[in-house]
Amino acid sequence: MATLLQSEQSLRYQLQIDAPQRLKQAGAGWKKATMGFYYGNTPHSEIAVDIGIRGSMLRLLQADNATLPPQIWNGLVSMINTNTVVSVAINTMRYATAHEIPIPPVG
Amino acid sequence: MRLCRLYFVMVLVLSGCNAAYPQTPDPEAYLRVNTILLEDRYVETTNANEYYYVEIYMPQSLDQQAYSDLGGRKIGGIAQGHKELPYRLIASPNDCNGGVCQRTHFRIYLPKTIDLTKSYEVFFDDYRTDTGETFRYRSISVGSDYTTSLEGKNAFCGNSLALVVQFEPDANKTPLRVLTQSDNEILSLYIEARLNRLYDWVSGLSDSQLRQIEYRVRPLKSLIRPPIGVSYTEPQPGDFILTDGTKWEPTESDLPRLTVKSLRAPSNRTKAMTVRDMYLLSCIPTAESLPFEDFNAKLSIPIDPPRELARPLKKTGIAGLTAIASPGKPGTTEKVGERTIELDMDVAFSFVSSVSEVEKKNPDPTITTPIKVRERTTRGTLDLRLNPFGTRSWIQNVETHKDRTSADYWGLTPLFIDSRVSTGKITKDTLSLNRIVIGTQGEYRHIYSNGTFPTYYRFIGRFSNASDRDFKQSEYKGTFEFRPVFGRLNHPLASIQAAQPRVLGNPDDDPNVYVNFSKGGFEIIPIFGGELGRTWNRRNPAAVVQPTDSVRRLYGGMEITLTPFTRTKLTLFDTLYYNFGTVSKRRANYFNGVGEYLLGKFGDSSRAAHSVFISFEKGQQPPFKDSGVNVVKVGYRITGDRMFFLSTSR
Repeated sequence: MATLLQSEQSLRYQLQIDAPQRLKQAGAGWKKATMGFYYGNTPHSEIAVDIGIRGSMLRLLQADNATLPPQIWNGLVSMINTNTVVSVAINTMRYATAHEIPIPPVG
Repeated sequence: MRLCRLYFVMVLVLSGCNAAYPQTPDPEAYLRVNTILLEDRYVETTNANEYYYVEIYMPQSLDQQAYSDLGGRKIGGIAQGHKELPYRLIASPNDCNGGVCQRTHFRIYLPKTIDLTKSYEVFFDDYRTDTGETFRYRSISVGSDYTTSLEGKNAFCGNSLALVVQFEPDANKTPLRVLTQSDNEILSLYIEARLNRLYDWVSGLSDSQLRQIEYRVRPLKSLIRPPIGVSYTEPQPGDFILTDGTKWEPTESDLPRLTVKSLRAPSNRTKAMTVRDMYLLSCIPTAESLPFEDFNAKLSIPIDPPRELARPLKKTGIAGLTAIASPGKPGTTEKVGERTIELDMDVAFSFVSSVSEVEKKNPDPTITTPIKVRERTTRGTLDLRLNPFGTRSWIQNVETHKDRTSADYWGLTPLFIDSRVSTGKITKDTLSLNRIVIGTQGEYRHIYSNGTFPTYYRFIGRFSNASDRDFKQSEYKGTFEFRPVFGRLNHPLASIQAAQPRVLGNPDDDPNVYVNFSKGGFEIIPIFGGELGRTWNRRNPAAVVQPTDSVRRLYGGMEITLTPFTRTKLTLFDTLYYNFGTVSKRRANYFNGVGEYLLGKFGDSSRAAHSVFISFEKGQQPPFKDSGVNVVKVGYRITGDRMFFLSTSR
């Protein structure tokens, strides 16, 4: 299971790539903004948030050489949307990693 | 055996703890106001040296000799911090009842000049009890008999905040002050006197006194700007740079100040009720409205109020009057059947009522010439889009590159209904396109770069049945559409965050508030597509419906959305058709311009928003040849997303 710090770092890294200007604007309060602040509030933004969260989660899972069951992926993207505050998203990601399944080594 | 030993050890430890726990309650001390009855009104004493007193309740009786010597021998006193104050401890007048003294009640009178913002402690150096034991009490905190607070919501005060002074003796927490019947009666009399005094005071405030009350609010979602007359620049939202180069930050005196109109108790809470319920309730109506967003508030009464109201009162996180969220989901103005599916529901209504001259048959049967009469016609239009089974979607191939994130998105909408219809006959003067399209849609999006202003390419495939409103001519067709969305051309309404000192807040709160506000936006999206299909049903359609057998069309267009302000949106949509199926009228153009005022979220739902709009629609769409709309509409629209149970994302 990832630590809170690892979740935070992974999402921050993702936001740094996806929305660097917004991250700069938010400054120290970056965790208090909603995901919509970084990814907008159009219908496509829900998809953009899903992709951002997936990217962050994949990074966390890659570090543990693990994956998540499909229902956890579904739950994760339904729980995090444009109205979700970043700090809540970080917590949700962290709890999701509690369900990670190790990927057996090849060969 | 081991378990038995452990059990005995635990019993011993627990019984030891029990023995160490004090059986007698702790001493109690309360700061009270010396209140007297003067001509049927309770007021504070005029003796400035005995304006306050500290009433002390001890759990054990003082030795008779020591009690008698209180006048000459000092056994305790009062301190503020490490400093002992020069006020004498004496026996309380409430200690003796019917000539019998309990030797447990003591008092220290304090002058009016003491600083009420400080905390005080009573001590006893040499407290000898009847049993001959001597105790030393180092610090007995001087507390209050009441609590004063600001309340955000109160049924009596409507939209105003409420000021509440609550006297509530709790025999569980502070047993000594209500230990005996006599103590109870004395305390009740004191509370009655104070509540009478408070009730009279808040009721008797003059306008000039009310104007002196400092009532400031800190909206938690708005920036506080420098006062008028101060020159500054704002290079970044929320960064106010003064002419001398320093950064301006708000202080308490910069917060919006509200003018208090009254501090009276509500008319249906009488003085008798106030005394009976042991609490004073005052509503704080103000000349200005309270903030519509969440806010903190502080109330200071700098006009020598009764002690209970002397301290500034603060309340944080008060809910604003209403919470109107700006809708995030823009409506769409694309033409029927080719509006892409992003929302689960989009309903718009409008009504047109007009008076015009119409020719009618002459009522005189001998005259064949028709007569002209003025007649009012009222017609309505309905613009409905519905995805009853939602959209199932999948995201794949998420890859984080050095400077961008790419991904693939797949979406399937099993069934959609898309219609724009109006009442009345389908004629050249129709108010609507009068088309109904039912179909299914699949979409692939390649997201080249994810983010605030993403670049992605939409490839949309659609299989649908389009017909006129009366289902007299229907065509089935397959549609392919390409919509490139470029990040540089697509900057929808966006929010900007700025941080600013919270000013009024709790020590545990974040020192800043973070304010999101919107910046105008624009979206420019080109559209290219083609349709292929056949007309499969024709039953005496309206004259304006073009009788075609095959459907072979290409189209191209542009959608431009401008959002100059948070709640205002202007959308322009134009498409040019080229129809291969007919010899005449091969080209058709359809234009739709909509100005919308967004009303916010619909009801309590976070998934639906509503707006009012004015639109200008002109042009035609197959299968209509001559019919075309040319109409200005004013209407009301509701949009919703993720409303249906099957909407999923994988």
